[in-house]
Amino acid sequence: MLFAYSEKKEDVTDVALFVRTSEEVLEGWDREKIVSALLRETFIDPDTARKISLEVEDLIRKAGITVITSSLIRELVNAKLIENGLEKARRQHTRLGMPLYDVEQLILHPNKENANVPHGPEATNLTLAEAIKKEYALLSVFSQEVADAHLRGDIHLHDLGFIDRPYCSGQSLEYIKKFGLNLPNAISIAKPAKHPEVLLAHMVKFAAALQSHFAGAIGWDAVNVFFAPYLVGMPDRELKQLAQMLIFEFSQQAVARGGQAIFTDLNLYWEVPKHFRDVEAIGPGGEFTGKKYGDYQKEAQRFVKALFEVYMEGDGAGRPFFFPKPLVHITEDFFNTEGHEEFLELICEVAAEKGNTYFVFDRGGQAKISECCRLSFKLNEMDLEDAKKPWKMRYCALQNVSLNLPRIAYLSQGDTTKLFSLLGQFFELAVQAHQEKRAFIERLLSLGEKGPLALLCMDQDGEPYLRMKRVTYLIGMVGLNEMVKIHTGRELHESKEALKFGLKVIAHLKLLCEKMSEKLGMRFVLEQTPAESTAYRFARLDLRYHSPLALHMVKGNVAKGEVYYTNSTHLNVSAPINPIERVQLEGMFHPLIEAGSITHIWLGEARPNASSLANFVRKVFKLTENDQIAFSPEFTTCLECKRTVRGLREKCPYCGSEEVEGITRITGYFSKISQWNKGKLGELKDRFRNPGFFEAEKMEVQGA
Amino acid sequence: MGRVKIFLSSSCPKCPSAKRFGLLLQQKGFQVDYFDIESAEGLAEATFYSVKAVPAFLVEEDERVIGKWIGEIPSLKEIENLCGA
Repeated sequence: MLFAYSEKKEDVTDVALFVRTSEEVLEGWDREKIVSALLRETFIDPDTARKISLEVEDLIRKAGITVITSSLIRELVNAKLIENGLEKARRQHTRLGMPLYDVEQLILHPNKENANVPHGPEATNLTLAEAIKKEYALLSVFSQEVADAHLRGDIHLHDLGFIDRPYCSGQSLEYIKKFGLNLPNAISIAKPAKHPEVLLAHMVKFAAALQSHFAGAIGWDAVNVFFAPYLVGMPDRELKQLAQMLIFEFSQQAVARGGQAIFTDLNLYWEVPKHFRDVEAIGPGGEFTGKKYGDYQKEAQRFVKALFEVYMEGDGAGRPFFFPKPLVHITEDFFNTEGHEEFLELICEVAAEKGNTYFVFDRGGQAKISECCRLSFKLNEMDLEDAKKPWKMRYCALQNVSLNLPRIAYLSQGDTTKLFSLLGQFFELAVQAHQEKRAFIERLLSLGEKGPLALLCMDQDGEPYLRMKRVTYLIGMVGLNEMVKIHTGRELHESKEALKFGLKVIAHLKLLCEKMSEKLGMRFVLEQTPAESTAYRFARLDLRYHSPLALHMVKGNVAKGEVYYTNSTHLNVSAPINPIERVQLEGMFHPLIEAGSITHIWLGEARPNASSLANFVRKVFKLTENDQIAFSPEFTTCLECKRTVRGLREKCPYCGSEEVEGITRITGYFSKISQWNKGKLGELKDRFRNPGFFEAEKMEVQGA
Repeated sequence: MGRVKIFLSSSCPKCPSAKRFGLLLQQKGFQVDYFDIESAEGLAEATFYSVKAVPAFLVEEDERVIGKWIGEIPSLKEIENLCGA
């Protein structure tokens, strides 16, 4: 919103000038309004304010104009503040907004920073609001040191447009099962659900409410297990219908915030996980059923199978559902639970056919809630204590700050000591950014249920919904592969020394996280940044500041501007490394990255056999340290005849139409390629799609 | 003769004995490298070899791991047999 000057009428001059104000009126010129605004918003004295107002009035009078906007007056005042050496006051008097040209571009053209934002009036609102909040964050929430580091591209402060909310969260259905839907500012209150369809409706509504209070993903823990007490005796047909409703409800929520589908993750289990097995189950009406969750394994298994049958069918055009993402936890117990072979075959069939399945590996009794593109909340002893009262299991990462690793390598010019020293400096900046964001969110939370984060302050179980003492602070990384290449001359996959150097960098960051967590009492953890736009942004900024060397180091097509850095600790996406080796090598980094990692296996148009994938998944669990894998096929949907085929094609093979849309996984979710940014388009062209590997894998299994 | 890698940390109760054993191996002519898993270098090396507990012993020959003891200290005889010393 444009600012309005005060209504005081004293000291009015006789300038014949009208001002278009943010109140949508034309007002007569009143110099005193400049004085009032300066005194209200800055710390300058009245005499200086008056002097500035006179100088601005003089400037306007000499220009001979008859109508002026209040925003232009503000900029003229700012220019005079600068001329008078009053930079601090100028900063305090800043006007946030966008040029007319930019607004028109935004209204007319899609936003490509986030492939999960479609184009439409709601999306435009989101983008405009984000633009102003970003500016606000960089001017007012973060110190100049942190803001400048972000603007230079040393670090990236994620989701600045959502500065007034936390980043991602892990949720438990148990909260709404126990307390119903009783949200602050809601116009009605719903008691705990008595029927599964109502529970589903509550889940979807609560997810929408959460989406407007978190910047990113909403992950739900053990969904099939927590639904189970509602499903006793439900016939197969109704169960399938419920599964269909759940998936369609979340995949069609593209009418919520900014026209954006809710980034939803369903954590699913074949067995009832150990930490829930002996927990009192909550059933219809929010009442304890008298049984334990372990007693509902059969219903939980029936439901998870029904969900995957729906995933297998795809949407109305046979395309994969983009959301909700199904994350299946593979544990030691999984392999000891009856029926796991058949279930593994089913989820691998879905992975081969549609690509939906994410395989999350919880080895050695590890438990976690996964979400977003790869974020996970590993449960510590305190969290496992919460598991006895699962409605308490709500976790949050307050912010994500990523480090531009290639930048550090350019700056250190081959000097290893300097490289690690700069790594420490960039890390400290990220920590400072987290402290500043925490202070801001705490300020908002202190306003309680009358403040902007009322939902996160609601207290139904003896503590606020958002438990600030339990939040984590993410430190991400982009371009380890390029950093190592700049520093050692080899990419991660090209030599053992390069790989070990990469491990040393990440180990150093992990130790810094531990040290800083202890020092500041904040839980800093590493996460593989999905870097949907950051990998592109860092590459572009490094081309500007570190060419010509950067010209040889960034990936993609420089001439077309389709440049990027390799995500996080991943290996070069174009390297022809067989998938098992890729999973093994990339997996070496995963134990160091507490808050989540993934390896992508790009399939292109190949349609592997489910048994090959199942065998592959078994090997990955047993022989590697890898945290999570996903298989990504590619699809083309015809916008004319609405049919979907495998592979990325320029024409529909059925009707010949050129009105087609490519679909595949961008970072951690499926989306339409037309919505991708240029960096990701460059990466897509480079992806090694493992031709023929899974057929060979199958033969190996058959021969074994 | 094989090369022995020993992984240690300051907080593990068995590590001082593991270090003394390393010195003995050195006296017997083995090349021994020590890695402190509380340093970036040591943690990276431990991660590379999937070492998740200390003390740990790794014997390499021609860059190939031929013996591994995690969370325990091998005997001199075991190492000598392994390396044909």
